[in-house]
Amino acid sequence: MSSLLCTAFIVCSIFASLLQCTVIKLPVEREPVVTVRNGSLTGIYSSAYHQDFFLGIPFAQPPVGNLRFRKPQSLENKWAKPRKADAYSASCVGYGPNNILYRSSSEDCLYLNVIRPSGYVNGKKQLPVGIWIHGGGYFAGSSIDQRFNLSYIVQQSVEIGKPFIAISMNYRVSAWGFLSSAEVIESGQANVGLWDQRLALHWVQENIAAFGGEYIPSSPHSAFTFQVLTDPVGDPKQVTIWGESAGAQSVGNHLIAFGGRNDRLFRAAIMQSGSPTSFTSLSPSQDAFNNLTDSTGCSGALDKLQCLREIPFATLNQFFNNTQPGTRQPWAPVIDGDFIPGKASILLAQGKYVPVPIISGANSDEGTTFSPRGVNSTEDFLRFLTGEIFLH
Amino acid sequence: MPIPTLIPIEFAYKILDAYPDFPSKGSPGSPPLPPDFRPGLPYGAQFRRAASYFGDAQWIAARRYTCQTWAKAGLDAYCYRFNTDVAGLPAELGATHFQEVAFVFHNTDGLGYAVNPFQDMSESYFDLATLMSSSWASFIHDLDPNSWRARGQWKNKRTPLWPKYNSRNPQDIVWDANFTGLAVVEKDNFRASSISLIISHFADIYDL
Repeated sequence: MSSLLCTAFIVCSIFASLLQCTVIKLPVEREPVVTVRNGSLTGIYSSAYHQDFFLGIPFAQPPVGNLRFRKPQSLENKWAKPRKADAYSASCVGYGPNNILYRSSSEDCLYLNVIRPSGYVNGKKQLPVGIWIHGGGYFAGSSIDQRFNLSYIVQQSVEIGKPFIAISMNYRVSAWGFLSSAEVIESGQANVGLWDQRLALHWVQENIAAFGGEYIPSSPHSAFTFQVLTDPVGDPKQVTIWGESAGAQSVGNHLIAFGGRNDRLFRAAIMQSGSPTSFTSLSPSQDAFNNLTDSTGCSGALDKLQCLREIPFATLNQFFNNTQPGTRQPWAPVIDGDFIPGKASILLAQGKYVPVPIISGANSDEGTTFSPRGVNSTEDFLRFLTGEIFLH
Repeated sequence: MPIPTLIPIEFAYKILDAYPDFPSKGSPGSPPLPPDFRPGLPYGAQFRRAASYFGDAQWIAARRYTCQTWAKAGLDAYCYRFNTDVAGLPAELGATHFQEVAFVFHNTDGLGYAVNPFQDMSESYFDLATLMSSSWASFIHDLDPNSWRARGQWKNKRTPLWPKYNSRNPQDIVWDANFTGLAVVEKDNFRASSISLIISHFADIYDL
């Protein structure tokens, strides 16, 4: 899909030492193309926002088949023809009311989206980058959720003279991304949903500087025509990671990752209702894992994880769907001795985090979403705190 | 692992003391709810008490601890409390989880919401979306959420600048569409001892 844009050209002719330029207006086809490491991407131009969208860009091999329950693998293939990047991908497989509304979901979901102000002319060729990591309790959510449409804030950024390129990515959620047990940790395949995010951050480092350049319109004035609307590129040195809820806790996890090893993937962080020490305990869900392997006939397997890789998608999907009661679902980041080397509160106290500027916030009444209902007495409250039943 | 994290009974008694049954001190507070208001079904008479604790245990204590950690290390931390009720939610939920997202994303169209959070809301709600999204963009651009205001684009003179968190004088900004300045700077010491109790047990009780 492309749009017509009536834009200004400067037509110049060089005659002897004299440079003559005239501004003319021509309707042109605008179809933004960028070339990343794996080939060219054809995005879409939005005249409503004067932005270019590059949607559904693959940043990893599809984590299917033998790659299920494994850390994401970098893309190796190059595509020869320009690849269409004009539609959101499927969401990752998640559960709960929001995910039911998504157009499609799939294990093949590791895609990201780039929203770029087009032709931004302000002497700024390199723009900072904001990378949105969605929330959803590690069991739901996706970058394709309309509430995470990045066009409005990018437009606002342009209006105030602080333009940035916005990116959002999918990562695996629920057990697909956060299966945990002693066996999973032992195999080195824990927290793969965080590794998905991490690979997307690496992808941005490798590719965002390629988002830009001049766009060349189909014009009759070939030799002496050039386009004044140079598209900005992203600056990999000016990246902010940014998330809400589980997405903000994920940002926190990148801050403490590998004990605060600075891989220079970002220079700032925004955490909306989520922090390194938010909301989920960091121990593996061994009981839930055992239930899973029991019910799928994998508990006796020598390599339980490999056995689970060979179970049909529908079987696992049904099991996860039936065993995840909302926010009490069992799958979340765990201490793995690697990505998360220890308890977040202790890492913070030891200064083991990446020392970048942050925004950190929470809402006044966070707990009204998460408190159990039916708290009628002190006994009720005590029961919800401890999980124990008290007899009157 | 399941959340809310379950806690041992001895510690739970300390929590009962730290979060006493005063509805006006609970969540939502007063205002916006009447001081003695006890929610009915499905929430329950002590819901405001419980919600105050669970909000702190899961999010708010972690936010404060993060800000404290950054400030102590001499790093820049801009901290906030979002305090605006939106359209489409019952009053018992107050300014609950996720509701700041529509403001940060400047999603005044309500794209993706069953009820537009801005539906029938006053102009100040739209202004708050502009203020917050601009502050975010400014931080992404300059590492400073205030820098965009240097050009005089923001006309509301009552809006304070967003201070950095400071160990000796810890402050956060409160985003509230009902204030004439849409924000105020507050001392970050609400429920100080209760939240400190949670923070001091992140590692041993909460497994964080």
